[in-house]
Amino acid sequence: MTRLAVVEDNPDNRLLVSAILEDEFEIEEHERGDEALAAMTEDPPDIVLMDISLPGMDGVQVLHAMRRRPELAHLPVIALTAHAMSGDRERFLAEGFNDYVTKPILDEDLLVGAITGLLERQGLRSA
Amino acid sequence: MSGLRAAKESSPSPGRSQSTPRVVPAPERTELPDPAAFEQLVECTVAKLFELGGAKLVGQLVELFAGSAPGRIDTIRMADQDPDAAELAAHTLKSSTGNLGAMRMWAQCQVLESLAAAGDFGPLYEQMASDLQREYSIVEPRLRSLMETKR
Repeated sequence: MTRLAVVEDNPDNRLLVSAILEDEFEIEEHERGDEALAAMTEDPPDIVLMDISLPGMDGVQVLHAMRRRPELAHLPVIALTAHAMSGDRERFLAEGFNDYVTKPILDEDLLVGAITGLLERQGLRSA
Repeated sequence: MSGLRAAKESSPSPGRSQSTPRVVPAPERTELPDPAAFEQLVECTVAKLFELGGAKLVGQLVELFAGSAPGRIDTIRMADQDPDAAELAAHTLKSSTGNLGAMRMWAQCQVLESLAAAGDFGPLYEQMASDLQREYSIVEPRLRSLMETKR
């Protein structure tokens, strides 16, 4: 089963994401960016769902640190964020995220589709 | 500069993001749509959450919301003591309310977050924070009622 790391400090968001994705993915939850970085470096997942507004290291800082580490540099990372203002999508893609999903997650198919689509584009799952 | 507030230069507080530049325009109008539409959205969202994870998921989400929202609203209302914390509280509460379809609160949090990011804690901010408190007093019992009727 594909291993998905969810980096999200808000427990209700982790709960909801797990409820949506737990049948299809092996989920590893992390509350803090620095904790996620250490755990993922030790044992990299297949794909990452990353909140932006994290305490300590924010999601962009974690992403940049991942891209500097050979064992994590290649991992597909989706920004999961409540920042949904005009231009936010372009800004996060420019930072190096592979895709962008906004909260609240009112349509679980969109979230699943974003993850599976990215895995397929990266050659990590067949269409 | 914090990840959520680039509209003004400030000393970042411990534990806040510091790397993501952002310009958040302060809102110019605060009118929100028909309350009945919001009520319907809460019901539809809770029904969908029941389909997704049953009473257990809905119960957990409602309890997490009820357990954290009052403290976050207090933090928002005491923005003069810690503006960064108020902005983060509005951002986090926005996310929680959205999960439950409480989109009137979501919109209020969005406005409060934008005002806080712009450093504008004037009368509009105070009014919106008061409105948020009042809306919570409507939404929380409504969520509990929906939770009970759908068990």
